[in-house]
Amino acid sequence: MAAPKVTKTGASATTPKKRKASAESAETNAITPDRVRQLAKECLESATKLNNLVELLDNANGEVSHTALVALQHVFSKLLERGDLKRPKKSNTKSAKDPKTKVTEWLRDLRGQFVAELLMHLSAGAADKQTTALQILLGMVKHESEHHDDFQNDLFERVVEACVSNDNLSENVLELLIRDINAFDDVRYYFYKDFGKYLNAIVPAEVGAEERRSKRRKMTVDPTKLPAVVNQGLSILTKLNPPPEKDEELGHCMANVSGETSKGQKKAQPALQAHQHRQAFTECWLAFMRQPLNDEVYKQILLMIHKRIIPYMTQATLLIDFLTDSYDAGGPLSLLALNGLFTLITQHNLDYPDFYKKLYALFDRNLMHVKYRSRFFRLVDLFLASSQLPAYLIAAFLKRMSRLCLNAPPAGILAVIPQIYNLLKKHPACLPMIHKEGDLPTLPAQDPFDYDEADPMKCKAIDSSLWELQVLKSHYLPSISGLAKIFEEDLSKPVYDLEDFLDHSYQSLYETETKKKEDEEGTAAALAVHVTVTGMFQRTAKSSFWELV
Amino acid sequence: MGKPTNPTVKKSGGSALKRLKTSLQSANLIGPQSAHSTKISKKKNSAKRLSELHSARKSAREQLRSMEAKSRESNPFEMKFSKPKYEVLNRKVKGVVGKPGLQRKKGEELRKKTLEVELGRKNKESAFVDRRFGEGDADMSIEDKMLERFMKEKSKRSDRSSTYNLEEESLTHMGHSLADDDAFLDAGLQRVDEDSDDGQIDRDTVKYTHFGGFDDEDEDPNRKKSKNEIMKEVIAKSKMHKRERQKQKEDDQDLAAEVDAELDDIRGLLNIADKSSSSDKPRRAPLPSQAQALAAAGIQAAAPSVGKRSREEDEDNDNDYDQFVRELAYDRRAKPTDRLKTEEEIALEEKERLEKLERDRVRRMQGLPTEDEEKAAAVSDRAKRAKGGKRETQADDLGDEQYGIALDKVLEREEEVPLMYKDGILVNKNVFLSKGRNSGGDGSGDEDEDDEEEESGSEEGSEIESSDEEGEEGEEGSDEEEREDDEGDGEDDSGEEGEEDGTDLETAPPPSRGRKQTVSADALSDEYEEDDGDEGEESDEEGDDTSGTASARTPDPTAAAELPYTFKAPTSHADFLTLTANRSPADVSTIIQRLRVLHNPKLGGNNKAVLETLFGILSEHLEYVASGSNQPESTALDIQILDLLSTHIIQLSQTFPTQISDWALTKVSKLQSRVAKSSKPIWPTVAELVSFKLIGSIFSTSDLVHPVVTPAMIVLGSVLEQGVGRTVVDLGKGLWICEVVFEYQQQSKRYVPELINYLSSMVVALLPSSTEPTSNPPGFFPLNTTPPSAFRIQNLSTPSTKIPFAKLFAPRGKGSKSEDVNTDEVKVALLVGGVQLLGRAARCWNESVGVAFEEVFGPVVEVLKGVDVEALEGVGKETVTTVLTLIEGLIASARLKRRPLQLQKRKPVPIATYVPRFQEHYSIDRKRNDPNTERNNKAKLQFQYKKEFKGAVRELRKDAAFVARKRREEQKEKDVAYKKKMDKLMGQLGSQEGAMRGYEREAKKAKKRR
Repeated sequence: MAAPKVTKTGASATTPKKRKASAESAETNAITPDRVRQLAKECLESATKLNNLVELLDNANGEVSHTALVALQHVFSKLLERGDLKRPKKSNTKSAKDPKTKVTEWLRDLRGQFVAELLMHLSAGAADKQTTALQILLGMVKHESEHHDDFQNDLFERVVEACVSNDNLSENVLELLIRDINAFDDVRYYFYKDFGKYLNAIVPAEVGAEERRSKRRKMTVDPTKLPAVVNQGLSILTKLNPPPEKDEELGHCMANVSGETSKGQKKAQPALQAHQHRQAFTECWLAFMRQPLNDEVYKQILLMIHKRIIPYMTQATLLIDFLTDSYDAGGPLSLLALNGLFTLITQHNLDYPDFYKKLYALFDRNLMHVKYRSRFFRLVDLFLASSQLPAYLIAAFLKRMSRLCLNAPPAGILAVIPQIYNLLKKHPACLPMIHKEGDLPTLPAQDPFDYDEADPMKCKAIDSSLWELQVLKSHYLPSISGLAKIFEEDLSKPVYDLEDFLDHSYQSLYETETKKKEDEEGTAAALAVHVTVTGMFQRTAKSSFWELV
Repeated sequence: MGKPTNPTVKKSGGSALKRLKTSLQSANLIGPQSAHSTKISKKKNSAKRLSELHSARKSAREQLRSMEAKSRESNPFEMKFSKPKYEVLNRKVKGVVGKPGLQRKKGEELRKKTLEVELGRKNKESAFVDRRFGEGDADMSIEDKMLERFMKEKSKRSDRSSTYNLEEESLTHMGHSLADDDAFLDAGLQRVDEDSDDGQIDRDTVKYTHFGGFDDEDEDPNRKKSKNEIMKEVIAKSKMHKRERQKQKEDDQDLAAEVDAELDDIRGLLNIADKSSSSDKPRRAPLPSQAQALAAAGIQAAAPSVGKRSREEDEDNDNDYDQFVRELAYDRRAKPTDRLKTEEEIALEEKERLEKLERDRVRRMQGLPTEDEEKAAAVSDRAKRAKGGKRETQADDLGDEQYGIALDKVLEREEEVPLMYKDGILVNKNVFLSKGRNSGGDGSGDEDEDDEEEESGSEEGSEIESSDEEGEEGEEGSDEEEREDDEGDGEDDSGEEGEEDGTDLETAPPPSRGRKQTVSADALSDEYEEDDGDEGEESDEEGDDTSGTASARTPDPTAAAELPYTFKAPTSHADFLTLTANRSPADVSTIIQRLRVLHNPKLGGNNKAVLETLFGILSEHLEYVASGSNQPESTALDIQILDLLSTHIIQLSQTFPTQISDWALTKVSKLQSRVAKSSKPIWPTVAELVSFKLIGSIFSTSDLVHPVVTPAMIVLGSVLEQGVGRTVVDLGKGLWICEVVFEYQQQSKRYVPELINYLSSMVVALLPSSTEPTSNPPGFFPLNTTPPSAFRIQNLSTPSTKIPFAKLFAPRGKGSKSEDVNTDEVKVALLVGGVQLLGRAARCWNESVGVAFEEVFGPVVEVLKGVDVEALEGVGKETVTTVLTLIEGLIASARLKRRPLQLQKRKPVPIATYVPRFQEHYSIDRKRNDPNTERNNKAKLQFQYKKEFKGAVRELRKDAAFVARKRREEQKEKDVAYKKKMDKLMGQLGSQEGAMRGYEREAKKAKKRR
C-alpha cells in the first residue's frame, strides 16, 4: 500500500511543468469519453501529441476514469510494441541526453505513474474501479510478458501485494484474480512466490529480517493490516489449484516461454518446473502458517491440511512443529490437528511419542459438544482400529467415552454407543467391563476408575464397569434408549457401521422423529389423562418456584 | 430258494444219493443184513417165505414212507429260508424257514377234496335258494317276517299309485270329512264307538265283518295269525292313528279360538288406538278359523254378526287384521332397562376407566403397543351398533363416548327410547304411549282414548317432573365429575334432557316449563334464558373451581347484569377480541365457556366447525396474551388469563385431538427451524414457552415415542444445548424450559443430560462476582460459552423470592427494560429455582439413573458446593442445603447399591444331547410298539385285513389255476378217449373193408376159376 504512493509522488515531482500545461488545456476542453478517445488516438498518431498522455493521466481519477485508464493501457501497449519504452542504455545516461532518450525516460515515468494510479485504485478504490484496475493490470502483465518473452514479475508482484493487503477487496476482483491464477501455470507459480515473499516480509525484524526483505524495494508492511492479509490470503489460497506433480503437466503460461527465447535454453524457466512450483507452494504456506492466525483461519487450515497442503509439499515434515503446536493447544484445535498429524505419522514416518495419551486427553468435557465431533470420532475409530492395542488402553477410552455420554447431546451419544460396541467386540478382554463373571459380590463396588488420571495406563478403567451405559437406557430419546440396550443382548452383531451414526444432529434427529409421525398418519397423538382439568400453571403452582398465581 | 446250509446235513455226507444210501442202510433196508436175511429165508419154504417177504416189504415200504416224510422235512432243497436282519440270540421268529413244496401239496389235496368235487358236480345237480325277505335272518320272528314281506309287496305295488293314496290326506265330501263316522252311517255301517276304542277290534266288528270271528283256538296266543288277520290289524291300527291326529287338530283349533277370544283383552291392555276398536262396532270380525272354532265351541256372540256381514266387510276386516299383524311385527317392544347405578358404582366405573387409561399409558411408556385389539373390537362394535341401530346402553351410561353416539341417534329416531324406570316408576311411559298414538296413522283419533291419554299424561307428567328434578339433584355430583374429565360427555346430559323434555312437550305442554322448552334441541340456538345461563356458569365452576369460582357460584350482581348469555360465535381472533373487550379474565373464561355450551357439537348443525374455529382462536389468543399484546401499557404478563385459556384448550383438546396435535407440531417445528437456521443461540418467545408448557399438560408425555412430545423434547434439548444466554431473561427462559422438560419426563423418569448441563452451568454463571471465575469450573457441563459477567450475583444475601414470571417475561420495550429484571433479587431467585429443580431431578431420576447416580450427580454436588451457603438468606439457604444433603445422601445410597455389571448373564444354554429316545416296554418281537392302543389296534387290523386280502387273492388264483389244470386234464382225457374210439372205429372199418376186399378177391378168383 505504501509502495505505490512513494512512486507516485516521485513521478509527480519529475514533471511539474508539463503537467501544468496540460492542466491548462484540460480546462479549456470539457472532458468526455469521446475526448479521451480522441486524445489517445492523437497520442499514437503523432509523437508531438504525446503530451496528451499527461492529460489522460490527470483524468484517470475523475469521471471518465474508466475510459481514461483503458485508453492509457491501449496507448502504452502500443508504445511498448513500437519500442518507445525500451530502457535507454546505461552508458548514455551520464552523457548529455539526447531528446529521444529524454522522451523515453519521460514516457517510462508516465507509465510508472499510470501503474501507480492503477495500484491505488486496486488497493483502495471502489469495487468497480478495483475490477477495472485489476483487469488492466493483468492485461498489462500479460501483454508485457508476451512482449518480453518473460514473465513480468515486477509488475505482478505489486498487483499481488495490492490485492492481498486490501481488506475490502471486492468479490469480483477476487474471483477474477483466482480465475487468472488458476488459468496460467506461471501466474500461479509467481503468485505463490510473491505471496510467500510478501508474508516473509511481514515477519518481525528480529528474525533475520534483513535477508528476507526484498532487495529491490523496501517492503514495509503495516502490522495492523495483518488480520486482513491473513483472511484475504486464506480465501485466495484455499481456492487455488495445487501445484502439479510432474513437469509435463505444466505449460499453459501467460508469458511466451515456448523455448525460442532470445536467451536460449541454458536456464530452464522456473515456471515450467514442477519442483519449483512445489517449492514456491511450500514456502508460501509455511510463511502463511508463521503468521499470527486467528482461530477461524487456524481451523480452516487444519481442516484442509491433510488433504490440500501436505500432499503437495516438498517436505511435509516441515509442518511437524505447526501441527504439534496445534495439537498441544487443546480444545477444538487439537481435534483438528489430529487429522494432519495422523497423515504425517502414517505417511511421513513421524514418530509421535505419547500419541494415545494425548488422544486420551482430548476426551474432555467439551468434546461431545463441539462441531467437529464426528470428524474426531471417525479418526478415533481409525486410531483404535488395531486389535493389537492393549486392553487397558481400550478400556480407558471406553470408560471415558461412556462417562462423557452422561452429559452429552443425543447426537454425541448416538455416535459413541456403536463405537463402544465395536471396541468391545474387537477387544474381548474388555468384556468384563460390561459383564463380570462369577457371582455378584455382596459388598458395594467402588469405581476403581480415576477420571482425573491423565495416563490411560494408570486410570484402572479395565477393573471398572460401564455403569454409565445403564443410565443411557433411560435416556429421553427413544432411539438412544433402544440403542443402549444392545449391551444386554447377545453381542452377536459383528460391528456397527459408524457412518450411520456419526453425522447426527438435533436437526436430523428431529426430522427422523417427525418423519416417523408422517409415516404412521392416522394415529392421533395420545392425550394426557386428566382426572380434573386445571390450568397449566395451577397444576404445578404449589411445587413451582415461579410466581405464577 | 433257500440254500442247503443245514449244518447237520452237511456233516453226514456229500451228495443226496449218498445220504439216501446211508439212511437206507441205517434203516436196515439195504446192506448186508438184509442180504443175509434173504439168504436164510431162501432156505425156508416158499409160502412162508412169500408171506415173510410181503410183510418185510410192507414194513420196508412203511419205513421208507416215514423216512421220506422225514427226509422231506429235512431236505434242504425243499426248504426256503429268509435271512433275518438282526440275529438275536434266544429269539424265535416264525416263518424263517418255509416249506413251499409241502404247502403246495397240502393245498392241492385240499382242493381235490373240495374244489374238484364241486367242479365235478357243476352243471349236473340243481339247488333251491330261498330268496324271500328275511329268510336268512335268524333274528326276526316269523310274524315280523310276514309283516315285512307284506309291506314290501304293498309298497312295490303302491309306488306307482302314491299320488292317489288316500291314507294320508283326509278326504271330504260336501265339506265333511270322509273320515267322520257319520258319513258311513248311511251306508249302514255300524259306527265304532269312539269312547270304547282301545285299539282292539270290538266284538261286533268281529261278528259282522269278520265273518263271526274265529273259534276258541283264536285265543291261543301262540297260534300263528293268518295273513288276513294281520291285514285287518294293520288297517285298524292305521285308522286309529288317523283318529288321533284328527282329535289333536280339533284341540288345537279350540285353543286357537280361546286365544283369539282373549286377544281383545290383550289389545285392550296394550291400549291400542284402533279405529275398529271403538265401542260402537264390534272391534273386529273373528277370522274364519276363529269363527269356525267359536262355532265349534258353541259361542254365539260373534257368530250372528259374522253371518250378517257382507262379503265386502269381511274383506275389510281381513285387511285390518293383516295391517294389525304387520304393525305388531314392526312394533318396537319396550324393553326393561338396567336400574340406575348407585354412586359407588359410578365411582367404581370411573376408577376402572382411569385405571385402564393408566395401564395404556404405562404400556406406551414402555414402548409396547396399547391394547389395540380391544380398541379395534370397540370400534367394530361401535360401527355395528351404528349400523344395526340396536341400543344396548343403559339409562345412566355416563362418561362413555358410545353413549354419545347412541344419544345422537335417539335424537334422530324417537322410537328407540327404552322404558326407563326410576325408583320403580316408569319414567317415560308417555314415550311409549305417544308411540302407540303416532303409529295409529292419521290424527283423527278417538276422543275418549285421547282423554285417557291426556289424563295419564298429565298424571305421569307431574310424576316425571318430580322424578326428573330429583334426578337432576341427585346427579349433580356425578355430572360434575363427568364434565371435568370430558366436557363433551357432560353435554350429553343436557342433550338427553332436551330430548326427554321434547317428548314431554309433545304430550302435555305445560307452559310454565320455560327452561326445558329452550333446551329442547331445535329451540336452543336462538335464546338462552336465565336458567341456561346458570347452567353455563355451573359448568364453568366445574371447569376451574379455584379461579373465579366465588364470583361464579354466587353471581356478582353487576357482572351477571352485564354479561350476556348468548354470543355470536367469533369467526376470527379480531371478533373474539371485540367480544372480550374490557372483560376480566374470569369473564373471558365464562364467555368461552358459554360459547362452548352454546355450540356443543352434540346439538348438531355445524357446531363442531364453530368449536374448531373457537379452538383456533383460543390458541391464537394464548399467543396474543403471552406476547403481551392484550395489555399494551402493562409491564407484566396476564398470567390468570393464560391459565384460564389453557384450561379451555385442554378441555377442547379432548374433542379435537388431531387439531391440537397439528397446532402443537407447528409450534414445535417453528422453533426448530429457527434454532436450526440460526448460527447464534436462539431463545424461544414467551408464547412458545407457554405453548410448550401447555403441550406437557395436553399430551401424554410419558410415552416412549410420541408424535408431538418426542420432537418437542428434541427441540427443547437443542435450545438448552446452546448454553446460558446473554441476558437474565434468557437465563429465565432456560430455567423455564428445564422445568418444562422435567415435567415432561416426570412420570417416565427419563434422563435428560441437557437439563443437568444447563442447570449446572446456570448455577456456575450466577455465582457471585467475589468468587473468581476459573478456567475449569466444577461440573461436567461444556464450556463452549462463557457466561456474561453481568450474570454474577453481587450480593448473595439478597432474600430470595419466587421468580416473577410475569415481570421477567413481560414484553420488552413497553415500559419495562431488561435492567428491571437484571437485579440480584431475580438472579438469586433463579439460582434458588435452578438448585431446587436439580434437587427434584435427583429425587425423580434416582431410580432410572440408578447405578451411575454418582457419575451423574457427583459433578452437580461439586457445583453446588461452589455456592456460598452461608451467604444466602432464608429460603435460598434452606433450599441449597437441603438439595445438597439430599443429593449427597442419594449418592451414598447409590454407592451402596452398586455392583459390577453383569449384562451378559443369562440362563446357561444346555448342551444339545443326542441320547436316543427310550421307549418303555419295548420289544423287538412286537411289530407295533405304538403306545396308543387304539391306533395300534387299528394298524393291527389293517395289517390283518391286508394279509387276509392278499391270502384270499392268492388262494383264488391258485383255485383258478387248479380248475384250469383240471379242465386241461379233462380235455386231454377226452381227447385221448376220442382218439381211442376213433382208432377203434377205424380199425373196425378197416377190417370190414379188408374182409370185403378179401371176399371180392375170392369172388374174382372164383369167377376166374369159373
